[in-house]
Amino acid sequence: MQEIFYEDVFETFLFCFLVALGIIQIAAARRGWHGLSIYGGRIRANVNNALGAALIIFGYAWYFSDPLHRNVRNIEALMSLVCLALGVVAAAVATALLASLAEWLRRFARSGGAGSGKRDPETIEFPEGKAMLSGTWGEKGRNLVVFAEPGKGSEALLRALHASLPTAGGMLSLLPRSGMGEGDAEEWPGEGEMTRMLSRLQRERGLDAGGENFLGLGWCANAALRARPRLEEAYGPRKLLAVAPVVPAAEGGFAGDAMLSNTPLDILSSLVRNRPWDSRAARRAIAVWAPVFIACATLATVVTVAFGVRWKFISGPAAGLLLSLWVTYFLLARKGLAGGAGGEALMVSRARMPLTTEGSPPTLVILTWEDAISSAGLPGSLHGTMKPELWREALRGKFLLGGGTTRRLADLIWDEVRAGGAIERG
Amino acid sequence: MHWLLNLDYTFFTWINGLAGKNSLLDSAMQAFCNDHLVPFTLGFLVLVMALRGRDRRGDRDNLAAAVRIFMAIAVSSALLQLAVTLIHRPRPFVDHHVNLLFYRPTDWSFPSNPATASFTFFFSAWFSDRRFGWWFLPPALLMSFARVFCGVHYPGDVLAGALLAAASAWIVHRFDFLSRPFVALVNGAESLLRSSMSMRR
Repeated sequence: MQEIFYEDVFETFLFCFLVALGIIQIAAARRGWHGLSIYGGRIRANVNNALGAALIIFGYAWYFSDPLHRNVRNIEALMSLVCLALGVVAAAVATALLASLAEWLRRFARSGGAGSGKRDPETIEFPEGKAMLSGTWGEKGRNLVVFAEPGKGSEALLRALHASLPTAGGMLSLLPRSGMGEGDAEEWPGEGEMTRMLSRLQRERGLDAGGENFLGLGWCANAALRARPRLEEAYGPRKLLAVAPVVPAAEGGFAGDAMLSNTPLDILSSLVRNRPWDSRAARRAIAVWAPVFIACATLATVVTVAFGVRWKFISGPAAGLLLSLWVTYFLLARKGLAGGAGGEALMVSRARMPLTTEGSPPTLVILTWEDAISSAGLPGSLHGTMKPELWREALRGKFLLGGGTTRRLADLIWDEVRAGGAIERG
Repeated sequence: MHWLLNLDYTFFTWINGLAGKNSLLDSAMQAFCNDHLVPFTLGFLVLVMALRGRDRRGDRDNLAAAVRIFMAIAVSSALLQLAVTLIHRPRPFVDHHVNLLFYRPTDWSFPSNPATASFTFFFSAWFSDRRFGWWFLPPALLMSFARVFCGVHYPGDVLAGALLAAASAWIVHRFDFLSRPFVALVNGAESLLRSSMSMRR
């Protein structure tokens, strides 16, 4: 009987795991969380839907085909709940691993793609960052200066842009060493680095960026729009393209959604890089929580031992953990350390700034599909005079999937650069 | 009190009397009666609810709803244990001849454990989301009906379970401070993950 019990627990866990995996895959396809797609990504959302449905149907059919799971006493309610919780957690972890692995394989397969071959750009290292130069710096107004945020996605797009450079023209990409999304309204992050790199290139290589086409990518699009008056004064750009700026979500007021186009591995590596647990607030919270946890876990274990609760040395500390979290929240709230969303509010204020675009040269703010959804309900005051254009087939994010989307975005950008005269959008 | 028990038994005989007349109906009721189909389906519905939002505001509300559902389950389990400790009502098949289509549970009959759990899912989800919450009702009703149909509960047990569930869900939703720390924790984790790319230092 005991043997059947354990086997049944495992089968129940497996059932919960399969169905939860299917539900997550359908949600990923429906919500556009391409980074969570095990197979297909943004290109083949239907495959993900089919995969999810198949997992759910198979899970139910397999589990309930066993008479043991239909009309026989086997595992009890608490164990069922544990199986459900563990199954859902395992499904989330498996989704993260499989989706990251699948995307890593896709990136690996593409690594010899767009950037390789005849048009590898020349890379110039500066203390402030990195510059990539390709083509011949030709007739004024035919060249492109790109401010790009560091990251795999933007570098992949840069490689595609360099690879598809028109014959009569040059392209200069500037990647600052510091991260984007910081600084105040007066000086955009990386502005100093960018202008110093441009000055060095003018001095050492004779590259004159004045009157050329300027492009900001991702966070750098926000930064370039924010620095627009200074850019106009210093370089008088022919065009200013802001591709895929970070747009705050209208409803929640949150900046960006990493789930849209990043794998869990990307998100995890970003978190490890930023180390949010190292912040002063996090350290204070942990300092408050640790003694509370020890006290609560001890107390709860004493109670479980005294009353002979099953698995007393697991259920006691587990109950203590929940109790300690509950108590700690109110202790932190009293100290003003809980109950706010300061970090996100700050990001929203930063992201809002560039959406008001006032100035003389034509500006084209290129929103991709996800950005357009986010910006659809933004108050008019945040748009300012911006006339955003939606490029349905251009995709933003850390990774731009296959199916030609990176090249497609690169081609669209070059089309804009080549187009004569001012950009007029209504 | 005696007349109430008689009334309960009368309703039981009506519903349980339907068993054994149609094999297809019996099979369906056995399926809904079992300990896994409806409870797990309701659990998966909570997962669907948590992931169904249209935007991050909606996601946060849905995650909060999911947290409250599990807190309500905990509260209803505690209340159920209290009731079982105080009231010892034997199963219908112990005192009467019934059409039994299920195994013989050995615990007390009042209040119905599955009805309490499934209606807690329903009431708690419904308090949080008046539209999606209705999806939780058919499985809860079917399971509760099937428990009486198969001869393992009286209708009164099911009704008491539903009332206990409604009270538990109401307590958790009325006294917000019970769930607030866990909602804050879940929302904090959501925010950390989804804003991770925007919050560069």
